[in-house]
Parts: sequence; structure tokens; C-alpha cells
Amino acid sequence: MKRTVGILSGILAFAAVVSGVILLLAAIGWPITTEGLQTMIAGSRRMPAVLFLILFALVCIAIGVIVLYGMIWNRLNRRTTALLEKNALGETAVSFAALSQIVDRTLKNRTDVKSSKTRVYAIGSSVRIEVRAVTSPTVSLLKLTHSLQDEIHAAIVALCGVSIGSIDVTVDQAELPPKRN
Amino acid sequence: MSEYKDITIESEENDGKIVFAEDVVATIATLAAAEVEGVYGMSGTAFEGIGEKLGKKNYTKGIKVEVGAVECAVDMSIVVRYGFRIQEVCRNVQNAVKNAIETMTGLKVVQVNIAVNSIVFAKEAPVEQPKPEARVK
Repeated sequence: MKRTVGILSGILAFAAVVSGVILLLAAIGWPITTEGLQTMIAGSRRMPAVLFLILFALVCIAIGVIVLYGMIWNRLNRRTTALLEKNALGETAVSFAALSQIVDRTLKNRTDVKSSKTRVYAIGSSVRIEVRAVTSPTVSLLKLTHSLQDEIHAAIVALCGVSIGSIDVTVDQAELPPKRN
Repeated sequence: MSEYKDITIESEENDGKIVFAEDVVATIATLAAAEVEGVYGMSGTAFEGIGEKLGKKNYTKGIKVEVGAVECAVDMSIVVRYGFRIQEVCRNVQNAVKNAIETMTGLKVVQVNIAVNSIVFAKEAPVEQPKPEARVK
């Protein structure tokens, strides 16, 4: 959901910039010709409308650029590592990509999980792990989710020692193929 | 081509200078880290990866060295093998890099920051198919 909203915001911001540029060019009668400029200056009745169009176009461009800049800045400065240790020699950290790999490997070893997707976020000084797993309809979901949480937690603690805020597990059950007679 | 930055150390014994290239310190750190158990290699940027694919060996991939007159700090990105405790590997890398640089250059290492960017898994050995027995001799 968050990703969809982000993508839509980016598209709208880009569209705002493009529309603003087109409106601005239309307002000043691009390609600019001397006749066009003279008409614009001479046509005093059209001036307020033209000025309003130019102002509106500039506002669109400004809003679009600010939103795009904010999105790019957030993307570039997004936290992508979790601090492991701070000692006399310096800091050691592990990337969220590496944590995802550990979780994926843990789930791959399980026979009751057909496929999975993992995402790791930062929450304060801890990490939040979201797992989406697909299993067969014959598996008990409650037992599976608890088991997955415990196993993922144990794997992360054993290999990294990263502070885990929460492990959210979503399980989808795949349908069994129809019986053939 | 990266900027060629020299580290100059004034020698007290003779009236001379000892000059180190910045890349030299980075290479020493890379080689020291590579010898630590559990370290698969260094993790570089996409451009460094493309350069390696084209056959250019880069011993300063994934490493940034900041040097002063007598001290230096190192930032490294490494790839760790699966199964090794990452905290221990990182501590060993910090000690190995510090010892190597201080021994070989005389610079005091004040910071060794390490980021583990990815984990590599051992390739599973292919299952050998049993050879079918010959029906006839």
C-alpha cells in the first residue's frame, strides 16, 4: 500500500511538472514570435487570464519539483543498515538486504513454506521484519506463524545479534490442484 | 581514474620523507580483511562491479580511507559467508585491519567502520547420479 502511494505520488508530481511547463509555454505562446509577444502585450483584456495561467503553471511546477525532490532526498537518505556494535575501534552494521537473505534462507529450509517475500524496515534503533509466506491448505496456520516467528528470531539473533522490534508474518494458503479422475 | 592522494610521513631519523599513496592503505586493509575467516570479499558499487567484469582487478573496492598526518580511519563494506556469526567476523576484521595498517605504515588507526552488505551462501554440491551398471561384460 505504502509503495503504491509512493509510486502514485511520484507520477502525480512528475505530471504536475510536465503540465506546468506545457501551460507556461502555452501561456506565453511558444514558439515565441514577435507577433505573439506584441499581441500579448497589446491585448490588455487577455492579460489577467494569461497572467493567471502563468502563475498557475509556476505553482504546478513548484509543487511538483518540491515533491519530487523530497521523494528523492528521502530515498537517498533512507536508513538501510542496522547497527550491530559500537566499540573502541568503530561501528559495525549489517544491511537490511543481508538480514532479508538470512530470513529467506531460513524459510527456504522449511518444507511447509512454498514461497516467501521478506521486507526489513527500521523502527528507531530496532528492525521490523515483514514476511509474506505461502503454504499449503493442509498446514495449521497458527502453528506455522508462531513457528516462523521463533525460527526467524533465533536465526537473526544467532547470526547477527540485531535488535528486533517485531516480526510480522502473513501467511497465504495456496489452493490444492483439482483431483484428476 | 581516482585522485592520487599521497600520505607523507616525516622521518625523524633521516631528513627525508616517506610517501604512501592512499590506495596503498586501502589495499593493505582489503588484503587483511580478506584473510579473516568468514569474509567472502569486499562489496563495491555498481561501477566497480562493471570494472571487475571487464577484467580490471580492483583491490580498493568497497573501501574508503581517510588519512591524516599520523592517523587514519577506514570504512569498509564486506560480504560475509553464511553460518559465521557476523559480529565476531566484524570484530576480527577490525583487529586485522588495524594491525596490518599500523604494522606496515606506522599510521595509527583510529576507526574501522564495517558494513556487512550481503551474505553469500555455500553452493550445494551437485548430487552425483549413480552410474548404471553394465548389463553385459
